[in-house]
Amino acid sequence: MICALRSSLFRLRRTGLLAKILIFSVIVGILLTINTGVAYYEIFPFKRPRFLDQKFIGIAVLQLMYILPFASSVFTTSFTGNDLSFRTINNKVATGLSRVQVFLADLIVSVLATIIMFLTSVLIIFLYARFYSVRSNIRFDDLVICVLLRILIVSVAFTAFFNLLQFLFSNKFFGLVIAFAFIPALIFISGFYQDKLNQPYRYKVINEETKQEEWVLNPEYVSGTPRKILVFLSETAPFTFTDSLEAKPEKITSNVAIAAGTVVAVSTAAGIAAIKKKELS
Amino acid sequence: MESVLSIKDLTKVYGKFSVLKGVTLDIPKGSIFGLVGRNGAGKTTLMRIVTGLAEPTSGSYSLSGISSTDKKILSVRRRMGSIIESPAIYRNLSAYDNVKLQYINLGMTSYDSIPELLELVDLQGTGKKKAGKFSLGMRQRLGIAVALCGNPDILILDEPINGLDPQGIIQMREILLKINHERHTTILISSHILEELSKLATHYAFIEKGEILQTLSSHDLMSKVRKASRLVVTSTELLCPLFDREGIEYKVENEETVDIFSDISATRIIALANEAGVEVVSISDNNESLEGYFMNLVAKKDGIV
Repeated sequence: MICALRSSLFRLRRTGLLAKILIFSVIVGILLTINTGVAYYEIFPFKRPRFLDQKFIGIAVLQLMYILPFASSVFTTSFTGNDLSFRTINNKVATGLSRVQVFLADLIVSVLATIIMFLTSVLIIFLYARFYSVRSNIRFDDLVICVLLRILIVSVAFTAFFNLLQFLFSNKFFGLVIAFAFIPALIFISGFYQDKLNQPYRYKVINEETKQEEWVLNPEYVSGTPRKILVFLSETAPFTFTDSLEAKPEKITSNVAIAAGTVVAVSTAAGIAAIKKKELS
Repeated sequence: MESVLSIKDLTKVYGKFSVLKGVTLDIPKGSIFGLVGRNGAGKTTLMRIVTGLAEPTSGSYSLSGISSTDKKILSVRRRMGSIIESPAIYRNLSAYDNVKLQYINLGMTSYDSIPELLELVDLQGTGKKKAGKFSLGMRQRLGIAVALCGNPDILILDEPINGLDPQGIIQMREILLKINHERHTTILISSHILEELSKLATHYAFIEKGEILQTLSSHDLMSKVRKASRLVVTSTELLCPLFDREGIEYKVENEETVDIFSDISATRIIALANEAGVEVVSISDNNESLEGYFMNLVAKKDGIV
């Protein structure tokens, strides 16, 4: 396993992928900082903000949630995908490394790359908030930590799933296309859950006969057990950030961690089963 | 003779299609073993199974005495290098890094021998140039270098000269001969370019539709396909002692037919026949090319001949 891991780490460094993800993460960190400053704090680029706090970090970091999965899918295509499309995986198997070791080594390095991208971007955002503002009061309170953890956990789950896609399909770009279709679909699903949950219990209508306003129950309102299921799904969906996150950050983060852990476990098990049976060309 | 690789009753079935049908082969240590067959004959499948890229449906093989069913086979595979179909190299890495990566895969910690290995395949001056910018010949040679990492006992090469220009073919041939002679590496090589293979191989196996038609040494094969004059006489028994006396190389086909391999004129043959009191019925060329020999084998299998 050590050989397989050393080999994957060497490749990460020597192919320039490590440098590329670092540069990418720095650029993302800067852009998110500027975007958050302009959009939420009316700070213009090159003008020092008066005051920044952890809320700034929270808002800036939240946007990473929409970028990291895409970045991760591109990375796994360039890393794991190349191992299969260049057929260099054959060299590893033919020299006695087990297929499981090869799969796990690529998975671990892909996860590591995701963590590097996450930490670098967060560090840039933090440094900006801490040192560039005239006055700052940066504290990593529970909410910020939960948001950070949630993004990291979900991104790792995405990486495990995208890594699996590369082992399932012989064409690496097929895996990338699926990943790129999958992320917007999840964003849409998260929006759908939110939409359902935000339906009012009742609303006012004007009675045609009496011309008086009266309350009627909203048939779209989901109640009882279906609502509980919907709340759970919404809270664990990767792209949902509801007000409830602020109210119970630890509980929601642990739910997300369980869901993401399940995705990682299932993706890894499926990947190991796939690589064991795969006829390498 | 000691075998590096022994294959026993190996079969591979995809759905209802049998790609390999009970293949049994022994690859002698130190040999260059040519696996000859047409496209789709089963050469690549056989090599993919032996290198661990595919699983056999039934049968087994042993590498350096370790059976494929033994868990130790993974560690024994470290003593084997291979190129299946085309060289498996990272196109976004230099030649040096590609070789170093294979060293890491093998668990080697000293990289001092990499320059020597690159020199062996004539890639010593490529520097930081990425393998993706190499010519096909350079990529093939880099593939050989990667396969040679760890100084393997056996090298498995599937069509290594496919697509190479004449100069590339010569260069590849010289490298393989050098590896075999200097490093004593056993080479299992498949090709359908028989003339080229005949310049390398010490042993042959002919494969068709997943079955081994024949295995024989280079010497035996050459005696079957080399230039000969076919002589039909009334009695070979009386004539052959004279051929022996004169040091003429020949092979008796039957009581009336003999193939003469030595460069000897028809007048001299007739003179010897007269001396032996034998009547010459006919003298004709009996030249068979390697391709012709193989095609005859295939035809016999198909029941055409």
